[in-house]
Formats: sequence, C-alpha cells, structure tokens
Amino acid sequence: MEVIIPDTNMAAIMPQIILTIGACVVLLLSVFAHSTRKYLGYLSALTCIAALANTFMIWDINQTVFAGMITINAYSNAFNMIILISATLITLVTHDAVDDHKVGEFFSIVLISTLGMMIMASSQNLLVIFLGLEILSIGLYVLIGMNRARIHSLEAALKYFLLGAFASGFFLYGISLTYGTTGSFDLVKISRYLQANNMLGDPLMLSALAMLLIGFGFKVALVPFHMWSPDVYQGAPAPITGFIATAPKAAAFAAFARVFVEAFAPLHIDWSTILYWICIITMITGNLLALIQTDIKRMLAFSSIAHAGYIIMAILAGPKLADSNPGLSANSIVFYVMVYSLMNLTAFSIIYIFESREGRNLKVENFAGFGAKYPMLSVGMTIAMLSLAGIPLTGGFIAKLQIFSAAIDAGYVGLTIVAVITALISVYYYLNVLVKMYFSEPEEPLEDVEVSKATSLALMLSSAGIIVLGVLPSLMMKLM
Amino acid sequence: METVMSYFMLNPAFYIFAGLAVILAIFMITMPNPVYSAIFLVLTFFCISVIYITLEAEFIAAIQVLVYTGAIMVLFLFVIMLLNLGRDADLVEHSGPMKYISIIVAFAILIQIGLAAKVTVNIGEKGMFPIEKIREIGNTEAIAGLLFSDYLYPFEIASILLLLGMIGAIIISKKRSE
Repeated sequence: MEVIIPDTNMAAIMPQIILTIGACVVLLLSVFAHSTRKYLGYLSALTCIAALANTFMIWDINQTVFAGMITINAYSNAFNMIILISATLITLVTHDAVDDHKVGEFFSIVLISTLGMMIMASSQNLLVIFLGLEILSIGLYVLIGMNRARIHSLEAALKYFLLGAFASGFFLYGISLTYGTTGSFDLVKISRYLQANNMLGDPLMLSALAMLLIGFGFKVALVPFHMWSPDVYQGAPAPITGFIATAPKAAAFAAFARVFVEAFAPLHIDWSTILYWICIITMITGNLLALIQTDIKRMLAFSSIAHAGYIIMAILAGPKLADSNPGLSANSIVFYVMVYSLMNLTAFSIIYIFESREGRNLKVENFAGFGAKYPMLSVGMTIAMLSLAGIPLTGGFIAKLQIFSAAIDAGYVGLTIVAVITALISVYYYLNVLVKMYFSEPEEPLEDVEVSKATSLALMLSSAGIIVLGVLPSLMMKLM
Repeated sequence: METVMSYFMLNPAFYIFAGLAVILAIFMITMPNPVYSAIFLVLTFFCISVIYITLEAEFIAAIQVLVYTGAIMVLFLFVIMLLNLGRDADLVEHSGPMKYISIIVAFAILIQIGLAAKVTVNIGEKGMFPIEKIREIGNTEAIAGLLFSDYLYPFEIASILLLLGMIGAIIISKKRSE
C-alpha cells in the first residue's frame, strides 16, 4: 500500500506548537527549578503573547494543511486571536493566585486547554473538532476542581464533568451519524455532498443535526442545555469562571458556526426551525432569570446565557446571507465574541479581586459603596456593565447592532424584536450593579484592596479594548 | 441499501451479538452493585468486538478486547475493589418521577433513531476504504497507513490529550503537603 504524506506545513500550526512547548516548559520548570515558580504566570502570559504574535504573522495565509484537518484563514485566526487574548489576560490576572505547589500544573493546563480551543476553532474536520473539544473540556474540569479545599469548586467540577461527558457523548453520536450519512468527517466534503444530494428531511441526517445541536448547545449554554452554567460559574474560582465564560465559548461558537453555517447550510430549513425557538427561549430565560439573581456570578452566568442567544441569531442568519452579504454573519459573530470576551474578563477579574479579599462569593448588594472606595476598579466594572448592557460608545453596543442588522437582513424581524426587548430588560440588572456601587452606602467600612501590577495592566487593557471597539469598530473589521 | 441488508442477512452473528450487547448494557446500568455493573460492561465490550469481527475489522476487534476489556475494565474493577465499598455500596437511586420520564424520553429517541435507520435510503458516500480494498491491503496496514498520513494531526493531538489527562489526574489526587 502506498502512503502519501500530506502537506505538513508547520508554519501554519506554529501558534499551536508554541503553546505546546510553553506548556511543557512551564511544567518542567515547576518541577526542576523551584525558584522560577513565582514567574510561571508571566511565562505563560508570554507564551500566549508569542502565539498571538505568530497568529498575526500567518493571518493571511489561507491554507488547509494536514490532509484537510486544519484550516488557517482570517476566520479561524480571528477566533484564535480572541482565545489567545483571553488566555493572556487570565494568566496575567491569576499569576499570583495559585498555591505554590500547584502553580506549574495550573498554568500548563491553562495553556493546553487554550491549545484545545485553538484546535477547535481552526479545524474543519469533525474528528479534530471533537478532539479539541475534549482537550479544552478536560482542562477546564481540572481547573475548576483543582482547589479541593473549596467544596463548591468540587461540586462545580463534578457537575460540569458529568454533564460535559454526557454532552460529549451526544456530540460524538451526532458526528458518527453525520459520517454514516455523508461518508466524511471533512466539513468541506460534507457540504459538497449535501449540495449534490437533496438530504432535506432525511431522518438520519435530522438525528445527526439534533445530536450535534445538543452537543454545541451544551458547550455554549443554550436553554434548555444551560443547567450546568450558573452552578459552575458560581462554584469555580472567579478567574477560572472568567476563563470558562469567554475562551471556550469563542472556540465553541467558531466550530458551531463552521459546522452549521458552512457545512450544513443546504439543510438550513431543517435546523433553523429548532434553533429559532432555542434562540428565543435562550434570550428570554437568560435575561429574566438574571433579573432575580442575588449572587453576582450567577447573574453573569445567566447574562452569558442570554448573550449566547444573541450570537445564535447570527448563526441563524448565516446561510440566508450567503449570497447577498457573505461576510456579515461571520464578522458579526467574531466581533460579538471578541467584545463579549473582553467585557466578561473585565467583570470577572474585578469580582475575583474583591472575592479573594472577602474570601466568599459576592452578592450584588455587597458592591455598595465601592464607587467611592475603589474608583479605578469601579470604572472598570462600570465599563464592563455598560458594555454588557449594550450602551452606545462601548463595544457591546456595536456588537449587538451588527448582530441585529444581520438578523434583519436575513428576514428574522420577529426574532430581532424579541432580542431588542430582552436587551432592554437586561439593562436593569446591569445598571443595578452600578447603582449599588455608586449610590449605596456600605454596611461596614470597606478595607483596602491590593491589586498587583499585572492584574491592573490586564484590566486596563481589557477595559480599554471595550471602549476602543465601541468607538472605532473599524479597527476590528479591517482584520476580517 | 439492498447490498447492506443482504450483507447483514448473511451475518446472523451480527444480529445475535448486537442484541446481546444491548441486553447486557441494560443489565449494566440496572445492577445495583458496581462490581456486577463493571462485569456486565466487560461482556458488552466483548459483544461489540464480535460485531467488529463480523464487519471484518479484526484489528479494531483485537484492540477493543485488549484495551477496553483488558486494560481499562480491569483497572475499573481494581479501583472499585480498592475503594472497599463493602456491601452498603449498592447504588440505589431515589430520583422519583424524573426517572420514568427519562426512560420514556430515552425510548422515544431510540425509536426515532431506529426508524431513521430503517427508512433512510441513502447510505452516503463510500469512504476511501470499502471492504474490498481492505481485503486486498489488510486491516492493520490500512489503519497504520492512515494514522501516519491523513490522520497524523489528530494522532499527535491525541497524545496531548493523554498528557493533559495525566497531569489532571495527578493534580486532582495530589496530597496537600509537599
């Protein structure tokens, strides 16, 4: 038998190689050079920055390498950029947050998990997407449950692990049914097959779509597959919550959009009906349940469920816009995920700073009086909340605007009306935090809080990013 | 479709062992004692490996027995026994009406997929390696060839997955004091 070695272009996967090497170096240094442990957080941040720089270097190459397993183009690189920015900020925020004897493992798991997300975002092969999904998930299970002294972390880790494994099973079943029907794992070949053969309403293909939808729905926390997310967000340590809320969702949305908008576009009539209703109940449930939360992390969990609903609108619109305005749906997803990541990272990092001082979970009312006592941190929180609410001059506004215009272009007017109404409802609970911060008196005098230089740098970068994207969105558009 | 059906008709072994695998899997999840569950899972894996043999995939059948039945399940049993759960370890669920609702939903999904497989006329494109070609070049050679050419990238990625699994297992079970 003749074996043909495929195109192994190492330059195309250089960012992934950098992350792998970085993870191994961090792990080995923590074992053999104890004195370096203090700096491993910075080293991980540097690794992410190097990978990010490399991503920019290969931005335009537009190549499919390794026998169709990996596609590097502006779309995948944009998502890789978001993932790497999130990872960089998280490593900066957590650089001094981990127990000394676990620090090496912690950062190498963060790096490998990031690698898994990049694989998921850059692949056009269902098998590789699944491997990426598993790498990122297993990394996150460990990160959540790493602090065994906290019973809530363990509960969150176990819940996430059991439900995540269950959802992975659905995803895998969906992949195998897709393979059985179309004869390929490759999204390009699947798309070609579906265009050549009319598979609308084919029962086996419908089952495959349903299973894949459940798998992705779990990962991005769509209603009714969202049950894990409030508990996990609340139980996990805050910087890890910030990580779970951003980078894995970017990866999952990249793969979600790739699978459904690119490969399954010919079956749009089949899957759009169900996704339409999932989208509506996700936006309504997420925003309404966020209203009644007292714990700030639970509130942000429901808010991120609602945000996932908004992004789904762009996925729904994708195939309909394929002829008239092909880039619109993908661009609006990228922009939304970028802004969403920055604002959640800002919010969760600030929550983490206060939480580590208090040693317990924060309620919204605990923010009383923060505005006067911690002006800088409160400005960061304000920017994040205003952007989450979608107030003009923040990235959140432009992001919502793009998604809604994509949905209207595709003819989803009713959906957009629901989205606008739920977005208006959401303003209440975001502004509630600000009202507490600036217009309430604290019950007990507040103590000083120390913020390390790296953390404040990360916070400044992310909140500046939100404003810049809100004022000059064209900067981001140029990249696409 | 016709060819697939007649191929299966020639293999009554497939139907026998597929049915057996389902029955054993049901036993596995209904046993209250985890050791019995594990042993029924071993038997399920055996049935699945026989299904691979009926499909002429001897290599995968052998790997299935070696890895799953041999290594993983023995490890499972070891862990269950080392945990020393005693007789009180019977896993009894108190889940109430949700249990019956989920059984109904599970059967609905089963029937849906069963019907889907029955009425589907399209079995998709044949892959690069139909059974005639496998017979010609051999099972192990085909897998080895693919693993080091087309599937090189996922093969390498799987090694990172294993590394992550190891680090994760160690960090979760690590003692607090150094």
